[in-house]
Formats: sequence, C-alpha cells, structure tokens
Amino acid sequence: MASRLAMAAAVLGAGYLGLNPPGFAAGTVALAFGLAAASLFPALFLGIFSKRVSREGAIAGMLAGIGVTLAYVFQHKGLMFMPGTSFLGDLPPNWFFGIEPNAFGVVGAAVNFAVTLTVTRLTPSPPESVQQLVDDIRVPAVSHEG
Amino acid sequence: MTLTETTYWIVGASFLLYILIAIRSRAGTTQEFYVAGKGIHPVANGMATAADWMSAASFISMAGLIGLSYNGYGGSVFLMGWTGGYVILAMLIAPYLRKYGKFTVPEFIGDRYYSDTARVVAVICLIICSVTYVIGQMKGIGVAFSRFLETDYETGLFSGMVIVFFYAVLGGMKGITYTQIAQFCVLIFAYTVPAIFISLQLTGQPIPQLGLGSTLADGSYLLEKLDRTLLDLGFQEYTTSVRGSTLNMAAFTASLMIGTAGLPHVIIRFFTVPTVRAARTSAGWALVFIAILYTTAPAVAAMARLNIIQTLEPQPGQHLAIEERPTWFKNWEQTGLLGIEDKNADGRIQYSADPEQNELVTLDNDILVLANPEIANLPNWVIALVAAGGLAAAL
Repeated sequence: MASRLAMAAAVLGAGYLGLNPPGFAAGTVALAFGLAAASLFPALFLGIFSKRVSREGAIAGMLAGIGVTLAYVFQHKGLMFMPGTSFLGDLPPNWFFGIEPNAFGVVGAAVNFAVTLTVTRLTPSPPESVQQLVDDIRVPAVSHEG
Repeated sequence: MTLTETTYWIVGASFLLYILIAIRSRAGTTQEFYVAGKGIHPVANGMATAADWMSAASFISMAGLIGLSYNGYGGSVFLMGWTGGYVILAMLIAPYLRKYGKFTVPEFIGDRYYSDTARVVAVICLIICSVTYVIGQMKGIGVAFSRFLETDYETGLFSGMVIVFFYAVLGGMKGITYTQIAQFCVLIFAYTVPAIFISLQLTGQPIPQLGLGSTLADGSYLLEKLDRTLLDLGFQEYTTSVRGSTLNMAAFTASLMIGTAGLPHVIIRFFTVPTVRAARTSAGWALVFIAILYTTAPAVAAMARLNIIQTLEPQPGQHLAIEERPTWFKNWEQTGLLGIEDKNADGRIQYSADPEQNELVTLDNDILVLANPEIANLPNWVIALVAAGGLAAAL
C-alpha cells in the first residue's frame, strides 16, 4: 500500500514539474542520468568490486558527487529548474572546460570516486561479514535448475 | 475514416490491451508487486526491458534530438551513451546485484556499507534522479497526448498522468512487465514501419539503416543532400557538427554511460528472471531489441529533417506560403510545439539558422518522430500507429 501511495505521489509531483520542463524530454532525461552517474554508480561499482571501501567513504562520495553535479546544473539552468534563477546562464563560455550541464555527470562521478577512496583511506575497513558478502556476490551461483 | 477517427481506434485498442493485462495481473504479495514473482522467461523479459528502455526519451525525443538541435553527428552521444551504459549494466552490475538477491539499490547500499545513513543517502540520490527522469518522461507524455487528443500541451500532460497513475498503481511491476511486452511490440512496430515507408519513398531502399546511406531519386546521396541543404540555410553540416567540443561529446557520452549503469529502475528489471545466467541472457536480448530502434533512429532523424526542409522550401528560394501550409503543420501548431511568425510579412515561411530571419520559431525536438509520418504523407493507419507507439513508449 505504501508503495502505491508513493507511486501516486511521484506521478503527481512529476506531472506538475512536467509542466515546466527545463528543455525537451531526452535532455532532461540525460540530466537524470548525469545525476545517477555522479551519485549512485560509483557507490554501486565500488561496493561490488572492492572490499575495502568503507561506509564513510561511500556516504561522503555520494554526497560530494551529487552535490557538485547539482550545483553545476543549477548554476546554469536555474535553481530547481525555475526559469530566471540561473545565475551564470546556460551559456557555453561559462561551462567548465566547455562541458555542458547535461554532460557534467562524469565529472561528478570522478569527484565521487576521488572522495570515496580518500575518505576510505582515513576510516576503518568494513567488518568481516561485509567482506564476506562481497565475496559471495562475486562467486557464480550454483544453478538451481541444473 | 478520417485520421482522427483512425487514431482513436488504434490508440484505444492498444490501451485496452494494456489495461486488460494490468487488471489480469493484479499483484498479490509484495514480492510479486516488485519483481513479478521472479518467473519470466529471458526473451520475454528482454522485450520488457527493451520497452522500459525505450521510454518516451528514446522513442519520441531521440530522433528529434539527433535531427534538430544536436544536428546529426552531435546526437550520437545519446546512441552511444545509452547503449554503452546498457552494456556496462548488463556485464558489471546487474548479475551481481541479482546474486545478492535484495530488491532495491538502496538496500544493497545499506547492507554493503553496513549503515542506515548510507541507505538514506542513496534513497535521496535516487529520488533526485528519478524525479528528474520522470519530468523528462512527462514531457514526452505531454507531447504524445497533446497531439493525440488534439489539444494543447498542458491538457495532454494531465490526461497522460491520469492514465499512468491508473495502471501503475493497479498493477505494480508485474502488471508493468507484461504490459511492457505488449508495449514493446506496439512501439517497435510503430517506429520501424514509418521508417521503412519513408526510406522507400526517399531512397527506394526499404531497410532504413541502409537507406540512410543511399541515394535519392535524383541520384544524389541522402546525407550529401541534407548536408548541402542545411549549409544553404545557414546551419552546420549534418554529418560533421560536433556539439560543443569533442571533450564535451566525450563527457556527455561517458555521463550517459555510467549514469545508465547506476539507474535503479532498469536494474530492478533484471530481478524478474529466475537465475543470474538468465539475467545476463535477458540483458542480451534486450540489447538486440533496443538496437533495432537505436539503429533506426538516425535514419528517422535525417529523413524527417530533409522532409521538413523540402516541405518548407521545395526548390531553393521558393518558400512555402502560409495559407498553403499542410494539415499536419496546423495540427502541431495547436499543441504549441510548432510555431511560425511571419517576420517579413511576405505571407511565406522562411526557415533559416539565422535567428533574425528564421520564421519557424518553434520547432520542438520532440515532435519529429510523431510528425514524421504525417510529413511524409503516409496513410492514416501508419500515423495512428506511431501515435500509439509514442504512447506505448511514454507509458
């Protein structure tokens, strides 16, 4: 029941926002991907392939990644996409190394990785049980049909 | 039967199909709600994944992006980014999450990083991404519905929301999975049929992917003609225009790629098959299905662009008169996504890259795919089919 309510709220909210989209459909979607790239992907990737990355590292990384990307996007497209609040304007000369807001996700991801790995160095390793979990995930399953 | 009637019939039929499936699959347990009881065959799941993938963004917007604002070559970021991301997802992420066995990405993050805080952070990130994503989708829905109902964008959007609301809430993931399969069939058909027709029309070659590289009736190559015509109007060449800089394009592609790999809703799709191996197989199938659409898109884009230009300026220097503008033009004007302004008051429409002279002031990217068959004067049922496909994708 809760998930249905959540879905309903999501549809309504998004519909409302859809009335004033920051561009055309695929452009906005690209933006969403950039945000996912900067925040979730590094945490997922490192979570699977590294046993050492600690929780502080992951949290710091996710926040840094999405923070940097959102800041860049809002700077150029307006706060929460409301027209008129973009203080640097959506203009090419102001872009970081000529990278547009839609494309910034990879920079955010780089920031995420860097922050995660740095903070991990400074914090304790994950507990044995978690390292075991990672090992488990990486080993192919015995097929249940065979 | 008029176009409108045909459209209503075909779209209505497809809707009925989806809603019937949704009702029949009314989810029971929570597990069923989320992952369709984990019992779906890889090929079928591949289709559903492909349908999910071919959201409004892909179907409606992509050809428009390629054809219009990203001007051809620049649009390749989307094709490569999304496909590449898909591969990363299928190879590197999805199988492991599947082995892990939990349903949602934040749960994985919470467990792997042994912290509720991490989980909450992941949820917040996810919400931000999802909201942005859905905003984009809603735009697509607004476009499709506004044309279909022959009303303006806002009303179209509202109606679309109502429908999405209904069956998302009714069926949860299971309803969505089977409905997705139905939608996939509708949309792949709807995308490729006009492409085939138009390719035949312009180049005599029925396979659109090959048609893109072929010659037109007058002997010149399609792409060359497009390049030349665009140059004449003041735009950059279609085949070479780099968006921003190469670094920008590379960054864009990379962002799309890894963003895709991190995107939750596609990952969840991999949980609806019985084993890890099946997850990989269904991912492979999905790639095949997605490739069909993605390789057709550039052809659709180029041909549509050429068609528009030829409608507006059948011979160089001879511009279309405003009263003579075709029905499809007027229909789309109603939605607000196409607009003209006769700046020099000569009763004709000039299309140019120069903002001062350009009289085609509004040409929203998103209308390109849906308007394509109308522009090419295809039969009514094809046009209606594309509308149904656009709606299928948007849902």
